[in-house]
Amino acid sequence: MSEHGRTTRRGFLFGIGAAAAALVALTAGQSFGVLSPLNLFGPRRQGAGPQSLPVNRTAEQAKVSSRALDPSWRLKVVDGPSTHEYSREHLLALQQSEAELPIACVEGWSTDASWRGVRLRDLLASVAAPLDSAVRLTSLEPKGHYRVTTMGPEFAHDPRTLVALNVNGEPLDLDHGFPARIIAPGRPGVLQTKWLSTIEVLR
Amino acid sequence: MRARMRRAVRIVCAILGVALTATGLYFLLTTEPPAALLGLAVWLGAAVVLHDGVFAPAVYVANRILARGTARLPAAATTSVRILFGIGTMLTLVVAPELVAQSRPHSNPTILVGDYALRLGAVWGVIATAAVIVILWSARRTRRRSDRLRSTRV
Repeated sequence: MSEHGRTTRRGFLFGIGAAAAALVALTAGQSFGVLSPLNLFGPRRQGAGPQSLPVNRTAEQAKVSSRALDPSWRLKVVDGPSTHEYSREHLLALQQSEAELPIACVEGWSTDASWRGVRLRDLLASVAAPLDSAVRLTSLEPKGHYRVTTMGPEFAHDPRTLVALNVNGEPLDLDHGFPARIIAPGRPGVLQTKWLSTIEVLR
Repeated sequence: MRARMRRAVRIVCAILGVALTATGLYFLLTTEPPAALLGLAVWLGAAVVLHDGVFAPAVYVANRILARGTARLPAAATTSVRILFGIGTMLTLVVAPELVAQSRPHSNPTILVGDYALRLGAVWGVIATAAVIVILWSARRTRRRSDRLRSTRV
């Protein structure tokens, strides 16, 4: 394939292919369970973290701990002039639903988890929000690019979109968004708002 | 006949590729806000700069050094050895930022969870072993072939 140190086309293509295959094999395990045992160089490991789930931004990094652990926390659902408030106990007393959904981070890792909480669409129905309404979600975190996010009606009214209170059979860890977070299908991890503070109906 | 067939397959592939790209571009431009498009352009631009400015030159330099180092190897082993060391260089470039980040204080215990230096060392060990095996194997094959040539001449 190689003559006098010159690289042939076949050698070159084979080299590129082999390098790409090696890199995928040794890092993609942070997203794909099958390759997990080969994950030597991925910065994350599937299952490594509180409640078997990695964390993108910790409560400490977001400077949110004291607000999130405050017992007077209430989730506010705002629809125009009316505001409904829910304590965590109140949310836990509502009908609970389950969803198997991944945290799919734009940093390149992905891990599935079992979430349990209140369907966002049930909460929106209880305040009589129309089915085509989008919502604006605000986190307790004082600063951050994704402190406020907007979610279109196709996500807000999807039956799998939850205001999650539990993950993998336990109450949400502080680093996973205690007291409540959003988990929706098909959205990047940064938009799965943690330490949820306000849900605002956008008509 | 075969040439014509090959040409037809190529044309079909090209049309499919252009159609897919156009579909992607259409949805990208019609669904994403301008700020997101700008962010995407910056991200893709940075990827090109990083690849062409850092990654490609480093691999090229490593390849040149290897070309000199492997000049005396049996011809059949040269390409394999260069590919093996190319893979090692590429992995080292990928792992280096992880090692730098790991040496700095960071407050998220779920990131950079592995002993990457040890693992990189182990991968280089595997690469070196594979290179030695390839060299010995091809040297033996070359020797056998020349022996056979000599015996048929007698």
